[in-house]
Amino acid sequence: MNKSDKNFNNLTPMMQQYLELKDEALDAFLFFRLGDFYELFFDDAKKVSKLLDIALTGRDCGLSERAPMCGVPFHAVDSYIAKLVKDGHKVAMAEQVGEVGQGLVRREIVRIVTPGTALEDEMLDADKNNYLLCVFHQLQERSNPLAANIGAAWTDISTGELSFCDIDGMVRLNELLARLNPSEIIANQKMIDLSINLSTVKYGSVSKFSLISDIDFDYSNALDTINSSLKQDIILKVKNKPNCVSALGALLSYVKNTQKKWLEHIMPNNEVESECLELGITASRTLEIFTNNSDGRKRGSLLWVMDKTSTSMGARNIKKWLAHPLKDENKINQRLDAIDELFKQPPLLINKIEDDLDNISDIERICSKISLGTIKPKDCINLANSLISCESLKNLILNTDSILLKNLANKIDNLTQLANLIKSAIKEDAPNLIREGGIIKQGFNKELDNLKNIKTNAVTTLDQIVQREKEHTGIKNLKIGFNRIFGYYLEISNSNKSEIPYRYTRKQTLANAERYITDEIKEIETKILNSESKALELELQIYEKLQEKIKTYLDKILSSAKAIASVDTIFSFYKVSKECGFIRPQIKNNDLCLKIIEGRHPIVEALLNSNEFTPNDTVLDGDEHKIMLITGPNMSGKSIYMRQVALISIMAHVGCYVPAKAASIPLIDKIFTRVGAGDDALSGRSTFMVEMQELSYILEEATDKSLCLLDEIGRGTSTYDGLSIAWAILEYLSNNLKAKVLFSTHYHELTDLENKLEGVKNYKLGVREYEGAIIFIRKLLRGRADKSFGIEVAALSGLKKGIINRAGELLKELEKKSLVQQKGDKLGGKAINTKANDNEIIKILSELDLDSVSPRLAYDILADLKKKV
Amino acid sequence: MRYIILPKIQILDSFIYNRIAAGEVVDAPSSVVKELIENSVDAGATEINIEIKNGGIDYISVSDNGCGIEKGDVKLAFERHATSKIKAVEDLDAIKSLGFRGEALSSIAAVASVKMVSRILHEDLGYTVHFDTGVLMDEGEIGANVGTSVKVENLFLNIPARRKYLKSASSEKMNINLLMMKMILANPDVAFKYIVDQKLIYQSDGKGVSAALVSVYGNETEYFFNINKTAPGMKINGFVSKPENSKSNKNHQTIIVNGRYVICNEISFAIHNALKDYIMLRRYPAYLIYIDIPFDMLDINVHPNKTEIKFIETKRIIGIIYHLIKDNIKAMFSNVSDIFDNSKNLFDNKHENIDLLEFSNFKLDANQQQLNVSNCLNLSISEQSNRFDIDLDKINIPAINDFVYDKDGLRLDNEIFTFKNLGTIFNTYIVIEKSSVLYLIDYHAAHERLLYNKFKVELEKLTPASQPLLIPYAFKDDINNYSIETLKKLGFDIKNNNIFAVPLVLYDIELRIFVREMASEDIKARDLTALDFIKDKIIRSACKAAVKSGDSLSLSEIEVLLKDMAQEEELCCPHGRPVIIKMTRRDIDKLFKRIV
Repeated sequence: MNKSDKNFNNLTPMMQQYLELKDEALDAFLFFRLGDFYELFFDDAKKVSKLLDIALTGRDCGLSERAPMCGVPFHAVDSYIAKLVKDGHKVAMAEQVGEVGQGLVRREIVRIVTPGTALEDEMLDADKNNYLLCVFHQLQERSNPLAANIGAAWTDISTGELSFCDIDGMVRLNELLARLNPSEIIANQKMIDLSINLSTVKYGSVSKFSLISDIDFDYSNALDTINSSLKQDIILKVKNKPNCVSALGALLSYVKNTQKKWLEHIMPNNEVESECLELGITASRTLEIFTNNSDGRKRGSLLWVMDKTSTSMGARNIKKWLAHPLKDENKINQRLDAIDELFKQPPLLINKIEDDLDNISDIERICSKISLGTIKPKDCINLANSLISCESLKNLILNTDSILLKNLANKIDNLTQLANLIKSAIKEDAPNLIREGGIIKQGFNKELDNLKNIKTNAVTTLDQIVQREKEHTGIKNLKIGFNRIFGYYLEISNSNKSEIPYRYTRKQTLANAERYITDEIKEIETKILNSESKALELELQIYEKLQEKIKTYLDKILSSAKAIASVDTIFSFYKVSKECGFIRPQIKNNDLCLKIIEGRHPIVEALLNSNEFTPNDTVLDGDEHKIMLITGPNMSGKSIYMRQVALISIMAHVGCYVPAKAASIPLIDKIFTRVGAGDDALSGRSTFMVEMQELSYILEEATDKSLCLLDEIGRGTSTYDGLSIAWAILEYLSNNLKAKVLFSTHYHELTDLENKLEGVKNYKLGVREYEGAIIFIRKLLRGRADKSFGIEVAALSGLKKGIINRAGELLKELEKKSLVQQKGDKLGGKAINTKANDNEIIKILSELDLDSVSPRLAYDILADLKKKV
Repeated sequence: MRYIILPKIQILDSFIYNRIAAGEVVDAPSSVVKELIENSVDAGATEINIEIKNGGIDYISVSDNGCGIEKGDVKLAFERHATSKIKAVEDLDAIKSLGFRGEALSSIAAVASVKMVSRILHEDLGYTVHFDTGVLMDEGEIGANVGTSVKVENLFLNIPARRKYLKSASSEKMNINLLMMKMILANPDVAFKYIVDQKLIYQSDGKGVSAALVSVYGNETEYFFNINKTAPGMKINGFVSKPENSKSNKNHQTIIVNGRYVICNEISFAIHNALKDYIMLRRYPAYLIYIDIPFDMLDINVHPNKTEIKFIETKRIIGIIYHLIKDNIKAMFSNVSDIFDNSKNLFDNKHENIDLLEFSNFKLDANQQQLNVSNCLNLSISEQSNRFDIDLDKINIPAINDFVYDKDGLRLDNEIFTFKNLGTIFNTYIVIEKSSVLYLIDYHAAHERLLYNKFKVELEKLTPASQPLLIPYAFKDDINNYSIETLKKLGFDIKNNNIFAVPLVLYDIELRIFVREMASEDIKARDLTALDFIKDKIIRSACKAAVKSGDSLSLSEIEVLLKDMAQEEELCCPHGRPVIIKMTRRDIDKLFKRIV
């Protein structure tokens, strides 16, 4: 049923109103306010009753059939809306805005709640941002060939952040999507078409793209929207990025449409997003920076180790810092200096800082409520207390010598006056429902106090009256009561019926009592009710004025909040460094040498009992020690060792202390990882294919300043193929790049390369045997591992003893027959086999010019060679 | 004829006698922890990490960054009588290390599953040894940090009776917590990390005594006063809690001799005596005393757990400590005589060492604030529209600059050296202004103290005045003779279970309750003396007889009280509460933010 239905005119006026609004609401569920309930009709009702598991009833609508209907009471609506929005639906709220009088009361859609524009606490996670992302794609204009393909703009209206940028290529877009994890994405048609190829979209790890009309994306419309909404003149910033303009304009108009007004607290980022250490999605996942790899939760990730923030703003901020490790030596050192300063402070001061941070609530999100006008009294009190703690915190950190902390302190405004105003106005235990009153403190407003006194006095007078009446009539159990329908009344039990004087007027009869009123009581009642309603009106006015007052301080509060978030993050770094014994890394700008003494894996260390983690050193200088070739049985710790080198580097770049005895970290531009197995059935790629594609990407993009973690390259295909590819890649890396590489492998043949290739050094993670069992030494030593111990490690896993024993026998036989000997014989040169094509193969190999051959081509050549064998 | 088989005498296998010895050394998880930590300290560790699970019954781990143990010696350490700490018998006379008996590891290994990993500096790899109730399970090389790490799991797993006899996990945990407090305080240069069931409980950074104090006592550190003295042949440094911050148990009393936590009853008793006039019955001060004396002046080899010690010069040490405390405690309480003392320079408001109130924690109550704010709000009712105009913009919360300063900043009276008696407030405090200091005197407490002192003096006379009773009081309770003798000396006249007279100062005593208490278990069990009880009674009498808060005093009565008080030396009420507080003008100015 909709507006254009032929039966429209037969419907009742209210139903017609409903359908008009439904037309406006488009694809959102329309919650139609009817008195104390929000109701849904027709198709909406059917769908929502299933989704929310509420009863589906019907209602007369003027047609022969009843209209399907379901509804929820208004005071419980938030949780229902939350559920729908979390499931990805949109909800439009139509409220009664006109005067209730004759005829149909006027209704309007006051807000459309969508996943990306949710503001209620129930729909938000305190420690996560809730992003709405708008992406725009149009084919490059010939007149401006430098314009990037895609423009993106995003905002979190619950905290007021707003950013935008140009996106260069699908890979970058993928990364942005993975990083922001927006809860809602809007785009134009061309973008949606293009997005099908994005891996994040294919894997379903990001929300669906929804279409919004092209009008909003039109360049001049967008420009107008931007100008009218944002205070600052950001036109200059976007002048050269027309796609950005479109995306930003469309984003802002979407926000306006859903909130039905503009929210002043939304302000664009003033800071330019500086360059950062690039991580790529796979690297973030492999290194378990934000979530662990087994169950996707926070515990067991780097964030879990480092996040000791006390405020929600800090929790959101630390995620951003971890997603953007810095690349500027000075900025990193500023953060490290700040942590250094905190270590120098006396413990009592640290305790006080911690107490202050604990007292600061999520003032960023409170600001959004102020903007929207939905702030509750409790939020006001929280805001006031937080502002006082902000000021106290500011004074504490101004005493330190750190430039960064002092800068942040200066960004915190002294808002104690505002805080004191709020605290003197609002009761500490004010109720959440504003319309019931009882919000304003005594002593704040004389008139209000007077009105309240009238009521109190009147109530006392009533008590006196009751006393008098009791004595007068001699009825001992005379009581006074109140209800909404009859007001104040005297209640007398039936046993005393005879004593009732004439001036009592009977109002209500109950089973064993009767209720009366007198003129006196009625007079007082009128006084009380009058003063009550006046008091309520006054309270609401005062509250509104207070909100207006707070609004004027909005940008100061927000900038203080951002500063507090950074202070909290730095303090969190300090806390974790202290508790876990981290040290300050030396950041080297013009040096390629990465040196870690007794480094530890921060996550594994935290998950083990204290002191159970064996530390290990690392030296990579881009020259003689470029490529660490690590061999050793499974489970010996190769992967953990490699990851710890990457994690320590990232932590250093984020400006935090690191788990080591000493560390010297050069500025790294990118970190690549190629770890783990997994195929991509959806797009028809095998494990091997995935690996090869990732490898090719890495080899294309790596520079001299990069760090690469390559774990067991060449698995997923037969031994010789894998070995050859791995070999070729090592040669390429050694000859062409100074990038630092950690390369773990089971191919012991590769250990020969230490003598052949520049920069390759062998390391091993050993085991020892004790009475048949193997024990992992966990210490990284120079040299090559002798055996793989695969069978012994399999025994650890609980594989049936019979199988283990048989495997042992087979191994012995294979080793005897082995074409590739275990004890370090070379591959090239010795006979691989006895077939006749030896010479041809050797010829091809010796003529091969590795410098001019890409890995892909090498792979092809090897495939060829293999065929000949 | 019956054949009796003679049992043969044999030398016990080490396996067996380790288990026997374990009974003395290892009686609970806390003793295991203590032994292991002392080993780590002896190894010169600067960082020691302790982790326990389930009260230490399931899991104890102590790891350090000390010098470590050589590969070949790791297994040897578990032999009985094996130690690196002493070699010759002369060493016993001057024991410098904490451990020396060579028994701990072997005992522990006999009754639990123990894994030790140790690495010395010039080796790449460490060496590990695993014993399970005395049986070797594994030994060999392994990667490790420099230092030693010992893991003890499943204590008493082979002696189920003993394991059951252990207290609950939570009380064992409490014992270990208390032990850790002492260990941290005893080793202020070591950074400790103490984790219980994966939660961090204590962490110290090894940067000295005050840092150690803060890690254990947190913000309460502000309530300790410091005593120290260096004398030939000894150095004493201590922290004693102020009388009003005493605790309800004796757990917070730590004595550390030469870096070893010990129990010395004589010292404890001396401290108790020094403070008893200021602390209520059944409250105990918290204290931490470091004593450094030459190693040959004491004997630690008294008990296997090495906590009991014997000094050679006990009396001298006790005397010093007693007087140190007594001297310092007087300094803690301001004297009323200050008011009369013209020689004190009260303009010098810098650095009061002993601050009786923490003004930095004083927060302005919002309720107080509102008095200012609402007075400044301009509200007007507009009669015509019957609406209320609230003009929040007119709020004028006074800024600092709005006040007008005096020309000089300070007011210089001509009467610098006399004080102004400003009367009383709340019928509880006397307010005195003298030059730039405000004194508040709790006159009930003051009077109580005066009376208490008077009564005490009276009772300590050889023949205290007695008040005969009109009717002798007969009692059936069983009071021991020693108490009766003491009571007689104090002025009681007791014959054949009848009380004929009581001391004059206790004329209003409730005899029934008094007698009951004297006969109660308390005196016998808790080694409270009759004197302590009497003291309690005196306090109560004094309290009753003194001017109550709520009674009003006239100005002249105040003068008299002040004059009396000026004669007294120590001023605090017998419960330990202060009698007089002073606030300098500077302190008050700070509150009003006249100065920052």
